Amino acid sequence: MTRVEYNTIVSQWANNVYRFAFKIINDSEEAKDVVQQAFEVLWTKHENVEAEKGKSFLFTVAHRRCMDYHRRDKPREIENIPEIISTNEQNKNEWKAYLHEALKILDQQSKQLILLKDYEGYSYQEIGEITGLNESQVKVYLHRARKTLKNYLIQKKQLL
Amino acid sequence: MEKFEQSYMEEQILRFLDNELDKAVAEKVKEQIALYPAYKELYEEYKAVYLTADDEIETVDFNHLLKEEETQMPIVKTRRLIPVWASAASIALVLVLSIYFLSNKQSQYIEIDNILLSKSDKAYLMQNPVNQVIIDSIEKKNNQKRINQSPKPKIETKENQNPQTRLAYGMEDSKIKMPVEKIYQDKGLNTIQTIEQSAINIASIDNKKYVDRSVLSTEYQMEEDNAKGLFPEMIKAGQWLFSEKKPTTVELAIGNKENRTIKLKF
Repeated sequence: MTRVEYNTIVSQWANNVYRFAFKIINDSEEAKDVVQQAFEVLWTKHENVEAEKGKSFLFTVAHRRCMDYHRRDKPREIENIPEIISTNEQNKNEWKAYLHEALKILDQQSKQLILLKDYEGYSYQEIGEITGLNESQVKVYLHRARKTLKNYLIQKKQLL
Repeated sequence: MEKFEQSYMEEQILRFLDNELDKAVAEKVKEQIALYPAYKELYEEYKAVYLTADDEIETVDFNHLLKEEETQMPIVKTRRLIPVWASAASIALVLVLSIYFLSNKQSQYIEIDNILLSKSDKAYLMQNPVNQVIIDSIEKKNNQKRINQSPKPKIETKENQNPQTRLAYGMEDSKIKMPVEKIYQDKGLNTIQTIEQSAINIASIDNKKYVDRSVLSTEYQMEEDNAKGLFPEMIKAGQWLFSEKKPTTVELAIGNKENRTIKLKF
């Protein structure tokens, strides 16, 4: 990977990595640190990493940093939970709020799998390479997480 | 179309939503969803828990992570305090001096006929070419102290003098002709021509290395001297041999016994 390719990766994926870290850690400053660390590691090893694998390399590092963070500190709860608004246009936002709230009940690994799949569009195999799991494990954990989210939202809907 | 099993269909719906199914299998799942309302409801429930990438999230400026091109520092020429030629000359001078001193050190030794002679030894080369050189290496003897204690040579009295000693000192009444080994070849040396044998055996003292001189220089001519006796002649011969004109210390071992050493200064 050349310096130009590295700079291209920074421009394309820095915010994606930040979003991923922020969703897991729920701390903006910690998430920025994760992003900085991931890119520092990438620059250190940029001569040995191909440009096409730069994105997965970044998320691999970010995944490990997030796991270390959760072992060290418990994440803070989201303070900026959007208020429930009764209009139709805002039902969608309400539903999103419930969904993000439901993510908190998941374990860290399941949450990361969900984020990598939904936000970054990685396949089961790519997610397995980033997280260190095999493809069937990724599939099973993802399906369990979806079921959990579904059941949570069904209960929320019934309550409302 | 046959209805798929509930548990199997649930897994297939999730894989369908994850885009992990082959085209053929995806088509069949799509048909099942369309045909059966239960599967359609299941599909809608799972679709609602998928996050979308358009979620608003704070964007952060990460331009500080960009790597700029490294700028090369301009090459600054430094002035040499000492010019190149001066340093080269100094190095050459050191080499020459070292070679000179090393060669001088080696020249202390001169090799003649496989025998290394040191200039510091009392071995002297003839100024004129000779085939062999008499080496008189002075070795420290056990009775060296005794010789040092008695600086003056012992001169035997007339009553008990050894005929050999009398001959050596050239005493007038020494009429004994002592046999002398032929040291010199007769080549114009009148005073020594009559000497054919001598009791003094210079060449056989304590296994010292002596190389017999067989050829004399024809250019050299001994001066006639009125001194009588063998010993002064020997001294002259020694002087002539070694071409020494300055005072010389000669040590002779007379006889086979070590205690008969005479140290003379001339």
